[in-house]
Amino acid sequence: MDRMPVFVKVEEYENVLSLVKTIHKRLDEAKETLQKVNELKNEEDHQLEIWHNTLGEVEKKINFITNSLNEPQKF
Amino acid sequence: MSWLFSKTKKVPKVPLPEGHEIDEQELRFPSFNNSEKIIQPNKIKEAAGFENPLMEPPEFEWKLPKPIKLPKKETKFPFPKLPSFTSSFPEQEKEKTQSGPFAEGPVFVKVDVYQKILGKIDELGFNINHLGQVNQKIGKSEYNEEASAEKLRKSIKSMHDKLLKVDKELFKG
Repeated sequence: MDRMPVFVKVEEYENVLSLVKTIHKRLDEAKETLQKVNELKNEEDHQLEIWHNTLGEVEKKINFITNSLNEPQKF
Repeated sequence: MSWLFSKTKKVPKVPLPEGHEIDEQELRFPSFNNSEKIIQPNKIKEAAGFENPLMEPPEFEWKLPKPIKLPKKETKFPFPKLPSFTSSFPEQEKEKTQSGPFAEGPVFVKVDVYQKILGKIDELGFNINHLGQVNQKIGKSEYNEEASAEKLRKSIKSMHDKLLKVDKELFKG
């Protein structure tokens, strides 16, 4: 004998659909927020890169000044 | 008075019913436990056999009989075109179909699909918990980042002040 398909009755089907729709909306919102956070992080990374480069330049200049001051010359 | 109403009917005396004491318990509604009526999700899962692996039905090979070739008969006149069903569809029916075919009445889902949905809901719960943990970590990281940024700001200000002092000292001479 062939197997008969078994079904489960779903109460408040419309409510479930509405909830799933709301979840979809929240998911889209979360995606947008994540995108914004990603953009902010990229901007932050860029600023940190600038910081890194500028600090390197400052270090070089300070070293030059230190070296220059450590070797005083008399005229 | 006419002779009709002059005769009085003789009605046999019926004895009044005797009262008896009523127990208060009898007047109360039967109490039943509401929790028995509420079916918990776990019970549904058990009933649906969520824990048990789903038995796939054995594949059945369908053997179709060979199509019978009928001799083609050429018709002199083409068949008249049937009027399209949707064009005469009433507006209300259209709305009903647009809102969903299961707008009214009970809706049933196949057991295997139901099991899959339950599984996905469980997985979703885990995912959301994981996201919560990630959020906490990001919060901590942001706090640390903020603290580090403040530290950086202070050290830069200190450097700037010191540099101004050095500049002043050097330009004195």
